[in-house]
Amino acid sequence: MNNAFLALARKLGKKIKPPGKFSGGKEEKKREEKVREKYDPGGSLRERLDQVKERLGESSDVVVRQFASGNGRVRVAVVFIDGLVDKKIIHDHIIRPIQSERLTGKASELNRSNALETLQQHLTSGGELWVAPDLTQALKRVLSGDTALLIDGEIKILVFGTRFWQGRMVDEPATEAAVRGPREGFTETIRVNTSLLRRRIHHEKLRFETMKAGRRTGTDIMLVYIDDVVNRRVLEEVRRRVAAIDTDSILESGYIEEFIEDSPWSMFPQIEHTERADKAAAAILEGRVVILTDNTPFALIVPTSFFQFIQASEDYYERPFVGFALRLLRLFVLNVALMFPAIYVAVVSFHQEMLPTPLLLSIAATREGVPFPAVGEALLMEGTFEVLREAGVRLPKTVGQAISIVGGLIVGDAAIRAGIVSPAMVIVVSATAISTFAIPAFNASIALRLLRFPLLILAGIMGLYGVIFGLLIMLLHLASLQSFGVPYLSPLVHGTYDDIMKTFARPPWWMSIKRPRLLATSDPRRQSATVHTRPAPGYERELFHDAAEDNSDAGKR
Amino acid sequence: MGRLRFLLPFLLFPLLLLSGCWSRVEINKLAIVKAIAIDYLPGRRAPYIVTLAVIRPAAVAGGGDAAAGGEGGSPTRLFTGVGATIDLALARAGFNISRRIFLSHNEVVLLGEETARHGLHHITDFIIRNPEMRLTNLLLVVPGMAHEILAQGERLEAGITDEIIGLLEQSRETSEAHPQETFLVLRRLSTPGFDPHMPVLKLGPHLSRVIPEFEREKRELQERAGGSGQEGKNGGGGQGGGESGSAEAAPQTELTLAGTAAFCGDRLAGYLNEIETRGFLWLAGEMRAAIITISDPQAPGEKINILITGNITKIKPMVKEGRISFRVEIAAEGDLASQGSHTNLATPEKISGLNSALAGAVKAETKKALAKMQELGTDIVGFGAILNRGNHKAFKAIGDRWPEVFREIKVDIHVTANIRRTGQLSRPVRIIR
Repeated sequence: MNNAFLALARKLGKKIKPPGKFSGGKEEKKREEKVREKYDPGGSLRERLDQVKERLGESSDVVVRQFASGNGRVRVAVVFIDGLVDKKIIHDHIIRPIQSERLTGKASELNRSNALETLQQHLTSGGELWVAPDLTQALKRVLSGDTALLIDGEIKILVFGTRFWQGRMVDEPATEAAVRGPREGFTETIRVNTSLLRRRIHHEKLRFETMKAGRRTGTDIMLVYIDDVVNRRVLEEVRRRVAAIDTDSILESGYIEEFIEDSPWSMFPQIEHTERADKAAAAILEGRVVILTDNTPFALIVPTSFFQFIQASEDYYERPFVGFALRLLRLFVLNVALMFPAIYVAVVSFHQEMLPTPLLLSIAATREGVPFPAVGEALLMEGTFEVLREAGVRLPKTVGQAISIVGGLIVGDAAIRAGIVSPAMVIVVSATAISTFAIPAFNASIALRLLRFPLLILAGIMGLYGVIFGLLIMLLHLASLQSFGVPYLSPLVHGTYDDIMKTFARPPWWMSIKRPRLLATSDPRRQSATVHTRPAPGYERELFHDAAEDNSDAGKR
Repeated sequence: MGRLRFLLPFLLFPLLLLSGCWSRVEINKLAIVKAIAIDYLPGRRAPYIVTLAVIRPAAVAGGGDAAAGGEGGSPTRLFTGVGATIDLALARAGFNISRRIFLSHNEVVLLGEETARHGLHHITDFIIRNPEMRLTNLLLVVPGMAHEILAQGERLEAGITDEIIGLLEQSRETSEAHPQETFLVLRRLSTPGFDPHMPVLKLGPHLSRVIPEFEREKRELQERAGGSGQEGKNGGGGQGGGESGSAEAAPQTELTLAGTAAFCGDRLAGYLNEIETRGFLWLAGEMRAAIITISDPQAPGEKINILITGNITKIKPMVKEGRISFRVEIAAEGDLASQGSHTNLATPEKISGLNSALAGAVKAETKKALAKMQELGTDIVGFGAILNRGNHKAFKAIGDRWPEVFREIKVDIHVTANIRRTGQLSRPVRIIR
């Protein structure tokens, strides 16, 4: 049933997506052409500055500064956006050298005919320089913080990299705290994020491929991968999907996620996101593609399989046994979060024979006098919990505590005392709630939390039969999902023994020879063989003997 | 069309609701039955009396909640129905109960003596067919009326049913009764040459009544050395010490699980007493733990107690010239539990002396049991089944006459005993005057 629904939704999705660009695009292009016709032939500074003014309007943060070169032969103007630039660079490396009256060497030959060449080669000293063919291209750069140098009588425009703005410091990621491991998380500034990745992977083949998306926001998007590891076809597919994004705004990587995921109507997240630089680097090294988005600390990781959501970066830093134990625990917790209330309801109202007699009696005693059926009670409590959680998230921290005390302790206790809910149900709901938060990935836990409700209703209607029915539908759905060509349930499906073991038990690093097979990387081996440096032969014995001899000597004396 | 397909799941979903909440019963709308007593009154038109022991959860696990009301009192309520069949009687009992009768948690089925004599078939059929009854229900025989047992007040446990279940579990430690689940009884009923048995639950006189008799007997006992026949009652004597304080307020009768009801086919044939039960368990190889008292070979008149820890029994059928006999080899193991004399028993020679004394005691018990079984004509050890397995032709030749043949069969019993440990002490403490 769900499958049919998805197929349907997919079809609808196709219908909704128009083949061309949306209507605003054409008009804008026409206007641009008009403007170019009007001004371009002349190329005089005054006309071009009028053009700039017409395009950017009277915004207070647009700075246009006209001045003449030191020898008075060429008139130039700088255009930049205040607040996005480092004014010191503009002043020291652009304006001052040009205005300087003592031009030496080749610079002294500056005149109208060789202005572009001379300014570019000899006069200015910015580190990052690009020659824009026309004003449209230049202004695009200006709007992201670069500085344009317009030269009288010259069509081409010099664009200097002067981006600098006030951003958040590199900070510990709030959503993915770890006991052990680096504390650096991504920030809102994409350049800082690329530096965090580059600092982790000092390899010449690490690539940052920049794309722009968002007609009005013009957001920078970067595909990060290692050129000789990543699977070409996966990379091509990511490129294709990101390039196909046609929207006027991208404010967060969630927008991109929705545009490029395989099954947009699925409850399950098919793209993992992370705030941790080390996690992103690990994904790149595994052969995945990381998508960085400007203005958000959340990077996307593709392709993603379901079991990535029960893995935390800490698993890889602690000893292997710990990682193994924690993963089993999370797998258990995942099931608790999804089905515990449903199973409780099914057993209590349909299959009482499945409980041990003393437990049955305890539960029956607590339910004595409760006005609702078990399903109603469960829905009420689960609903209440979701409300409390939501209220707690939105409120300031100081008020949040008050909410949790009033909501959790006072209301909960009063509800039990008044006999509206049974204590057993409170235990079930709170155990479920805690389990939900033990899943490392927030987006996966939200999906499970929502799916709990249909399961609960099915359990209330049909008992365990209903629960199994719901779970089967979920399993069918999960098995049908893919993420960029990789089955969502991999490596449980199509996986090798090695991959399956690695998913549930984290092997020691010296045994992790291969990358995940399903990613079909161009360089499938991480290391040549199982290598674990053992003590050199005789090393321990020598040390021990030396120590023993010393001791025996001391005893003699 | 497209819209219809989009709506289809939503249109189909109500189909699920059509069934309603089929067979949903809230847990607090159940009458949880923990024990059933089935009595049979021959000669009546409605001979079956079914008594249900229903648990009131609030009284058992009331705990802290005020809403459930902890007015205390017995957690068990009895509901009785009389009918021509068990099902009719059960339905009649349901007329008195405000909740749905829930049999899945039933653990014990008590059969009155007349019920057992009337035959098990109706009862086992009811237990197998009813989807709620489990085959692990323990079957017991009560001499007299079974429902009188359920009317007893609880002693240590939360309810009378827990008392009975506790007694059954504990009987593995005393080996004076042998609990039987329904499926075991069924297996025996359907095996040729094997008769079922069940433990006996009875109401014995309370110690406050027994003790004055003891006082009277004491003087006579002082003159004569104690008879070993009373040793089986030792467990009861131990209980008396703990309960003597509340003897006056205690009920008039005491629940006791001891002895075995032996069946012939599906009908009750008679009872084995405690000692005979132990003999039967030796033969069946089911001896778990028990105290056996033997006279000290070194110092006549002193007693030595052996704690039995286990046994292995091998039964071999022998057919010679058409005459069937059995050779039974019993290996008994035990620890020295206590001794009355001062001699050091922890030497190989003395231990081997004890071993033969123990073997003699075990042999005596088994012979008693065998005599009783042959007298009743019930093969609860399964000699016939063993013969059937070992020598199918010989068994087939006897055919349906097995019960009669069994009465006359010759059984050769060989017992080897082995005392392995002497407890926490090897040599007795020398008392210096």
